[in-house]
Amino acid sequence: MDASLVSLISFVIFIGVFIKYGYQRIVRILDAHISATKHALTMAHDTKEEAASALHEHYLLQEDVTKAISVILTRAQEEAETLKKKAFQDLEELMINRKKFVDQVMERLQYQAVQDIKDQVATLTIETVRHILQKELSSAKHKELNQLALQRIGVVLKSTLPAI
Amino acid sequence: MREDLDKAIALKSEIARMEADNNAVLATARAEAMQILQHTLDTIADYKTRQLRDFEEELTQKSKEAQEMLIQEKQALMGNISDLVTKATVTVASKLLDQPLKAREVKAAVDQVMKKKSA
Repeated sequence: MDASLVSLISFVIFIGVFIKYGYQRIVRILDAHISATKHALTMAHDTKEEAASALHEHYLLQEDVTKAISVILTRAQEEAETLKKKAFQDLEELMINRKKFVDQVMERLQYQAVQDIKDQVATLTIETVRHILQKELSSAKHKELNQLALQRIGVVLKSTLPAI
Repeated sequence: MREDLDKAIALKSEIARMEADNNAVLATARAEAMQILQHTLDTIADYKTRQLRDFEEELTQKSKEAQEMLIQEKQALMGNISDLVTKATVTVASKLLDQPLKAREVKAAVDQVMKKKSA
């Protein structure tokens, strides 16, 4: 047999064996690799999209945070202002009420002092008049005053009692 | 591709970290706001206490002075009470006795009655 024919036959056999056992495997490996690469590409794209979206969200969130901080501080300031106003009002009211109470006490004391003086003057005047009357009133004058009083009583009785 | 993926992953983790930072900043801001409010409350309470204390001291002092003045005025009027009693007695006794009375005599009687009273 010719050597080149043998080589040819061997080559054909090799090609046949290769096609039968190796080609499909290589194709499968290559397909799997392509698929994995495609999947990785998709994943990378998705992740990139997610990252971009997250970055956008993050910017929005940061704006929200800034706004929220501003709102918190404004509210705290407003609340502090309200508390301050309320405290001043309460304090003023308390002071006014306290002063009013003290004024009332002083008025009562003043009224009491005037009353005391009046009572004292009245008592002393009565005492002194009695003293003078006991000393100065003559028996004739005494009788005259009694008579006058009786006449007055008579007049009053006539005008008030029904006629018999 | 690998590099992009790594970058994207790193960016994501960075974003997560920044979000956590934001939350921390928010919590700090809230805590600071609470501190400000608490501080305001404490300051107001201190101020109120001081103002009230000063006001009470002043009020007590003034009312004490007013009471002393009132007592002095009362004593001064009580000291001159004999004049008032004399005038009143002259009017009443003159009417009752139907004759004019001398103020000097009435004053003597008033002094006598007052002396008897105080004794």
